[in-house]
Amino acid sequence: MRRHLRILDSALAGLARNPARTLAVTVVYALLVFLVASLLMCVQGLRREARRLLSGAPELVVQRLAAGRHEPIPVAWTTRIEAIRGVRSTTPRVWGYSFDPPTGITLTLWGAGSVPSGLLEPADGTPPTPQEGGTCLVGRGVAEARFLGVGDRLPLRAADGGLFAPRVMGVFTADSSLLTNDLVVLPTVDARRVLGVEESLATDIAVHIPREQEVDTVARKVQELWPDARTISRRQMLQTYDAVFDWRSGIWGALLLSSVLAFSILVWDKASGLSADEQRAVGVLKAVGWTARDVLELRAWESGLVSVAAALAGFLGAQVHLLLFHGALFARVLEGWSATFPTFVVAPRPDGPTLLLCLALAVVPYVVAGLVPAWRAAVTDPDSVIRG
Amino acid sequence: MALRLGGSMLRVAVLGLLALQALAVGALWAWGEVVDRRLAAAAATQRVLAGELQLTDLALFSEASYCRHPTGADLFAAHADHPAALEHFPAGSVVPPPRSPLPLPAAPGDAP
Repeated sequence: MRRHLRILDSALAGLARNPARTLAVTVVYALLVFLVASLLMCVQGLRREARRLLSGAPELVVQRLAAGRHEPIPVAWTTRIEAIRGVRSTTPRVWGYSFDPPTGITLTLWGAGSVPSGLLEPADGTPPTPQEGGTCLVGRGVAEARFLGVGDRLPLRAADGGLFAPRVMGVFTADSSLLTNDLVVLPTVDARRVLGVEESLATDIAVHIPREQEVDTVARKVQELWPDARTISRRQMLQTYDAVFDWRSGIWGALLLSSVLAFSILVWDKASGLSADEQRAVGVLKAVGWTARDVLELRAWESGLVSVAAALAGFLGAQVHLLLFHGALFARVLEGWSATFPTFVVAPRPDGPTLLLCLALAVVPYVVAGLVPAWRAAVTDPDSVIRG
Repeated sequence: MALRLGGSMLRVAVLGLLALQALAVGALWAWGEVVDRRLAAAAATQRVLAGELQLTDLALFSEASYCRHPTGADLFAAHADHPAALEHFPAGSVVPPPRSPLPLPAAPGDAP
């Protein structure tokens, strides 16, 4: 034990002899681990949130396609869909988009009969009243962009060219902004008027199927009834979001790959070739009685300490980035041209694969790159090593 | 410039620093768990909203309709404006096209 501690002391003294180099490698290593860990934990967090929130989505959505495009669907279809065994109810959804020129936001207009009040911010202690004609509920992003509060009016351009300015009856809480940020919820009658959707039509139909196992059968029967129908099950919705986040992490991963490569070159340069001084030091150690195993242990301590310190620092940075700064680095990339972007919290919950990947990235290459040349020097005759 | 500390003092300092880092990582890990539990509790309320309004998508990418509602987007939604239109929205680079092609209608004679 004492012997190992002495070797550890020697390794620390060796690192302290060249603090600039030690610090440079640690900082670059930590940055790399920070980026990879932030990315992985951010994507995992978003995927987790998508699964949690969308588990309340309708089991099946039926769209109508015309010329391959999404077209309004006849409300009369609901009667025949409800007659299919396994379907409990259907809801014709009326929704669409409206561009808001002053702010550059594309608003999502949503027709609804009622909204759970727990998700609305109370104004002056009074709960928002239920929706009536000429009123709306807006998401936090819309309220902030248009400086709206309860009682203000939100002017919208209706499909017939006229102005429609519903009064804001409530603002969705910031907590729900991942679902509601750009949403303007209107009574269905008003949504029809603004979007120009006739009474006999809807944007699509949400189908409530209590038994999950029957969703595929219902979907197939709907397609048998209407060849121009397209069905989207909740499972497909969740798969879409998995694909979105996989794709995105893949793109960022590809971008990070260049950093990993650059870093590998640095590590190889720093660790693989022993300088003349280091070779001489190995020769001296061998000459005063150190075995090749002791020399290797010394190098393993040196590389191990640097990489563990860097991995911990990088991981710490990633956690702080996600917890305190809400993944601000990646939010910019996600934001794109969106004029409004939800503020969302992602909880960093590192799982086994993330930890293993960070350790594999930080610890293994540096330790290996340091050990190989040290082993080569250690098994050579001390005299020839000292003389170079 | 070299650090001048006694061998065992340097060892204690460095190992202490590493232990401190590990403790901080552990503390933030625990904080992350607390935040996640809070998010899970909040999600229960939001699930009610998603059920009530029948919402199917997250309000993450609002710059283009096919990015705002990727679950309901057409295969060629990015090129919907005209046949040779090029995808130009930044979000288009992070929202992929649907994974599977549109489901085909069942052929006559298929088992129900």
